[in-house]
Amino acid sequence: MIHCSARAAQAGVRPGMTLAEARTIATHLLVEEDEPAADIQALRQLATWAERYSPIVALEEGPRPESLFLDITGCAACFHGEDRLGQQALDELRAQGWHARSAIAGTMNAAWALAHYQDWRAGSVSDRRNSDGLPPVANAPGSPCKSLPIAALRLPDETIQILADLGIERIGQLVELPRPSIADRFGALVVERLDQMFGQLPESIVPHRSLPDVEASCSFEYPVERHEAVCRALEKLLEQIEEMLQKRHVGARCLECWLYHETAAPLRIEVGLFRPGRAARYLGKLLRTRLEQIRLEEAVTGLRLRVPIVETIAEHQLDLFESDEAPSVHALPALIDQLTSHLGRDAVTFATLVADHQPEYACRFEPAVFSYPFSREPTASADGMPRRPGIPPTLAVGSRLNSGGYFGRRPLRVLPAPAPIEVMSVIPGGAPLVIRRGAEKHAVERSWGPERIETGWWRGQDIQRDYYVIETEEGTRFWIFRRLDDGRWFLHGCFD
Amino acid sequence: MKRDFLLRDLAQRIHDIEIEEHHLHQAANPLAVPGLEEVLPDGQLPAGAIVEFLSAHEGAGAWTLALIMARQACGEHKVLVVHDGQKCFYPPAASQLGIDLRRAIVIRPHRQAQALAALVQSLRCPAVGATIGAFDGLAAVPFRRLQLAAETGGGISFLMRPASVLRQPSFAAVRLLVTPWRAGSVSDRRTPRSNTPVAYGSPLNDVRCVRIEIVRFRGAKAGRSFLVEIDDEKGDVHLSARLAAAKTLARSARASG
Repeated sequence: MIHCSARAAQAGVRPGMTLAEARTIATHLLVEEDEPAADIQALRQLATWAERYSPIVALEEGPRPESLFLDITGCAACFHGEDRLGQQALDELRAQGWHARSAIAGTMNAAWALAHYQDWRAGSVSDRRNSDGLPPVANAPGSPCKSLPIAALRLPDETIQILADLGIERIGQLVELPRPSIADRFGALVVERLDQMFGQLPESIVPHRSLPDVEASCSFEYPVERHEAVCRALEKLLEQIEEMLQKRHVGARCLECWLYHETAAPLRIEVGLFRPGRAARYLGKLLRTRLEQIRLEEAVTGLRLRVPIVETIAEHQLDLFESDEAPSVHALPALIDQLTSHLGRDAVTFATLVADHQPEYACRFEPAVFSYPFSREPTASADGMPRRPGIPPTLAVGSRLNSGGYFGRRPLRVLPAPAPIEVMSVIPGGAPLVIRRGAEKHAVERSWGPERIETGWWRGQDIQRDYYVIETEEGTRFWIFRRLDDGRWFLHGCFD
Repeated sequence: MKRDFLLRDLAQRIHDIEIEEHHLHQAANPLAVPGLEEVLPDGQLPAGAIVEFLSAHEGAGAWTLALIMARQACGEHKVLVVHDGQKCFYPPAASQLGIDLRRAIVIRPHRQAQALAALVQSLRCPAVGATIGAFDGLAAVPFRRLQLAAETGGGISFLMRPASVLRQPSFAAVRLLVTPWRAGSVSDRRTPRSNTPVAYGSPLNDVRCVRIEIVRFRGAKAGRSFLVEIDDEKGDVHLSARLAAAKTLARSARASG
C-alpha cells in the first residue's frame, strides 16, 4: 500500500502494508495499481492548469513529485491578495475532485513545509506577517515554520532520529542552537535546509514548461563592415536583452552573438559569465572584447543575441560602511569575466584534483566561468566566493593533501609531456647516478624511490613507471621515471 | 651644471617613488619566510609590491618560496592568480603546500603576449591577493605598468625571472636571488652520497636547502644572504638549524638593482 483514503485509514489500513494484510482488515477494499509515470503526467497537467495563477509553475524535485511550486511574485494583485489567491486555487482544485493543501511563504522550503506539516484544516496558510513580501527570518518570533516538526526540513531519517534522541523535535528548537555547532554535530545539510527555509540561501523555481528564449535580433539595410556600427547595433540589442532579463528576475550566465553575412557562414561568439549578469553596459564590454579579437571575413548583414543559460541574480544588500572584503565581492567575478573575454574560456581556469594515480590525469583545468553548476544551488557565498555544491571528482578540491594521502611527493613544475633523458646506473635498472638531458649533465647526489605507478589500462595505455626524486650535486631536485616496458628514462618534473 | 641638474632630477624622482610607496606600508603582508622577515621593515612586505625571484636555473626552489609567500599574502579572503604560460604548474603539489585551489585562478594563455596584459588586469583587481608568473623578458615600460597595477590593487606580484636579468633595471621592491644549496656542501651533510635510493617516507628526506640572497630591498639593507629549509611535505619554510650561523655575506649595499 502506498496511499489510502481517509475511509480506508479509519478502517485500519496504513501505507506500507501488503495488499493481503490490507484486504484482511478491509474486505471491500478498492485497489488501484500504482502508476508513477501516470501520476507525474497528471501532475504536469495540473501544473499547466495552475499557470492561470502564476506564469512560473514548477514540479517538486525527486523521483515521485507530489507538489507544485508557484512563484506568485506580483500575481497577488490580480486576485485581491495572496490569501484569496491561495483559497481560490484550493476551491477550484476541490471542485475538480482533488484533495489539496496549499501554503504561501517567502521561500520554497517554507511553503513546502507549511503545506505538508501545518494544520491545514483551515485551508490555505501563510507565514507572511508583513505586507512587504520579504521572506521570514530565522529569528522572527512569530514565524510559523518554527513550530513545525523537524521532518518538515526534508532531512534523512537517521538525522531526524539523532535530533529526536536529543529531544529536538521542532524547527524552533534547532534554530536556537549555536549555528556552528549544528553543522559540526548534525551535518552541513541541516544548516543548508534551515538557510533555504529562512531565505538565507537563494533558490529559484525551475518552470515545468521552459520560457521562450531570451533573444533579440536585427538586420541591416545594407551590409555593414565598420566595427563601430556593429557595436552600436549590439548596444541596442543588449538593452532589449537587459529588459527581458529584468522582467524575469534573472541574469545571463552565457551570451551568444551571431553575426550573419551574405555568403559566408554565420559567425558565433560566446561570452560566459562567472556570475549571472544583465547590465547591457557590462555585457557589451565583454562582447566588444571578444569582437576585437575576431577578424570579420565579410560585411555583416544581421545580428542576433541569445541568452542560452539564465540564472537567478542574488540580490545583495549594500553596507553603509563597507568592510575590507567588500570590493572582492564584485571584483572577482568581473575579473574572471574580463580575463575570459580577453584570453578565451579555456585559458582562465580553476584546477580540480582528480583521484587518478597517473600524474597527467591527477588534475583537471576547468574554465573558470563554467566551473560552477547552473543549478538552483547558490553560486556565491556571502564573501563573494563561489560555493561548490557538488564536486564531481572523488577528492575534495582544495583539500590539503599529504604524503600519506592519495598522492606521493609531487613537484610544482611538471612538463606537459615527459622528456626523454639518459641515465647511468651501477647496475641495469638501478638507482640513477648521472642523468643527461641534451647537453646538460647532472651528477646525482641523492635519490628517493622508487614509487611504482601501474595504471591506465582502461584508457588503452598500460602505464608502468618507477618514479624517483633525485637531488643533483647542484642541489636541484628532479622528478624522473623509468618506463618499465622498455627501460627508458624520462624527466617529468622539477621541484622548483 | 647640466650633470648636477640631471642628478637632482633623478634624486627627486627616486624620492617621489619612495613617497608613493610609503603609504602602502600601512597595508602590509606578513611573510612566511623567516630570515626575510628580519630584514624587511616590521617583518612585512608592503601591499602592492613586486617581488622578483631570480634563479640561475630551474629547480632552485623559487616557485615553492613564492607560493608559500603568496599563500600568506592571500590570507583567507583573497585570490591567488597563477600565470602559467609554460603550462607546467602542477596543482596537486600546490595543494600539498597549502594552497586553496578554490581560491587559485590558473591562467594559461595561448600566447605569451597576452600573459602580461592578463597579469596587469589581475593585479588591478582588489580581490587578488597575489600573482605568480614567470616573465623572462620584461621591458621598463611594461614593468612600470605592473608596478602601478600592483599599487592600485594592493596585491603582491611574484615574478620568476632568470638570474641573467640581474643587471637589468627593475621596478621590483624586492629582488631575491635563489640558489639551491647542495647537501654535500654543508659540513654536517645529512646523508652520505649513496648508490642506493632512500625509500619514500623517511623523515630526513623531506627538507631541502635554499640560499636566498637579498639583491635589493628598497628601504632596507641589501646584500644579506641566508639559508632556509623548505619542507615540501608541510609547506613550511624555516631557517636552517644547522646553518643558523650562516654568515652574512659582506656584500656592499647596493642602492638599487
